[in-house]
Amino acid sequence: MRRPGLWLLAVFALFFAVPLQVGLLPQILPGPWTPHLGLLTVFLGGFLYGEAPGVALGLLLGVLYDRFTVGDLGLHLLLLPVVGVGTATVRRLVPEMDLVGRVAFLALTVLLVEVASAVLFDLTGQILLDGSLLFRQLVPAVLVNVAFGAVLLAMAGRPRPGAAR
Amino acid sequence: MKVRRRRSARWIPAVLIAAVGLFLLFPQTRNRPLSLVEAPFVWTASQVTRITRGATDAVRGTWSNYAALTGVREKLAEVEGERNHLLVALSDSWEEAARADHLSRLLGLKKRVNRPAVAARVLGTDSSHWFRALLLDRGQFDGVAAGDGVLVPEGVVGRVAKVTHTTSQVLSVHNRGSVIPARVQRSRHAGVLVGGVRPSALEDLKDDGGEPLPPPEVLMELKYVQRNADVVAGDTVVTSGLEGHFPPGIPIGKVVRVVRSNAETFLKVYVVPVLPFGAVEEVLVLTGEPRPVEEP
Repeated sequence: MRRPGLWLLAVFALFFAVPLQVGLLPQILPGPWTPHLGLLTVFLGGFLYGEAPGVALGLLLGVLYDRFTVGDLGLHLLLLPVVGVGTATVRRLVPEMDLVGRVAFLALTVLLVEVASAVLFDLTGQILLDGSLLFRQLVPAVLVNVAFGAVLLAMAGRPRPGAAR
Repeated sequence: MKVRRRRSARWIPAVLIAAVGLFLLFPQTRNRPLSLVEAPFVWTASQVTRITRGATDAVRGTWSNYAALTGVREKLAEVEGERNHLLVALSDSWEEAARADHLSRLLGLKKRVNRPAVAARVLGTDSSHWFRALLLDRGQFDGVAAGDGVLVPEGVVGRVAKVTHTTSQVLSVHNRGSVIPARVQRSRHAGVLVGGVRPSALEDLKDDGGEPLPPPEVLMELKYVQRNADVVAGDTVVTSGLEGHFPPGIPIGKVVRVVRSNAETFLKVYVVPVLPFGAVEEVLVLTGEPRPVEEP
């Protein structure tokens, strides 16, 4: 209970992330303009609380997100724990990162995850990818996730002392 | 003597006043000369009375109007509340009527397809924006299985791709991986309708003078239609029924472009879905084979 924010993230991941992602947000926002709540939750978990919470949140949300997609590949289960570990590692290597740096790092993470998803789905024949489609899907996805994530990062403030060790 | 005279003198005015009073009491005396004396007093009194009465009426009217206005204000608020309540009720009624109409048509579709089917409500979409899929509130407990066809009265939605005990996920007809046997309704030429068109395949069509095509992610291709087949833009593509999951004759899409090439054995027929996929709320999941027709 010493980390109320982490428990808040865990409760959100377990009960609210997927229902909001598949039920509510698509009614408000079209396709790629919907923020990836799972990715943002794992990013915040890894960045603010370290490797173990990042991996745990990644595994939990990976299972849940893969359960609610028609894709055959366990893509979320593969990528989200990696995001949790990666963000925690970067946070440890660059401990004094200001808000602009964190947002830039978030943008890079979202971009890498989206490109990796698209390539893996294309390789397994689940989508047909080319430059224009990638651009049309990637640009809104990165923009909306960075905007949403920047607000969350600003709200979260500076990482707690001793985190990500 | 002096005392008697004084006493009789005291009675004289009293008698005179009484006489004048009696004189004035009788209406017959009004036209007599004495009425000229009383006229100014009467006129003055009547004017004062009139003014007093007018002022009283004005105050009373103002007060009653104020009281009435207060009541009207309250009444107006009450009427406005009632009006808002009725508008909400009317909107609810329209919503109920639209839903009832949709469910009625869904029920009609269920009778028409003549096979086991369950109605399902759309709970949401796919968790990944790379796929176009729907999450339904029916699963294995309701008899739904992977591969089952999913319809609405207007046409085909897609096919069940994943199923759990209580939910199922439907892959839309225009998503990559969707394959449905279909035919052109007018000319009866059959083929296989495949979801997903590689955008690079459409590059050559941009300069052919035809109407601009929709984005490739909403396009389908009707494959294996012979080169000399009679297919034109605007034709409706329907299910052929050659596969058990869909009954024949259900609309899937409209032909938007036909590409004929002497180098190809088959036509390239590009189709867009008839349904606005995002607007689907309730669907019919076909869970079994057609029922045998009973002999009369």
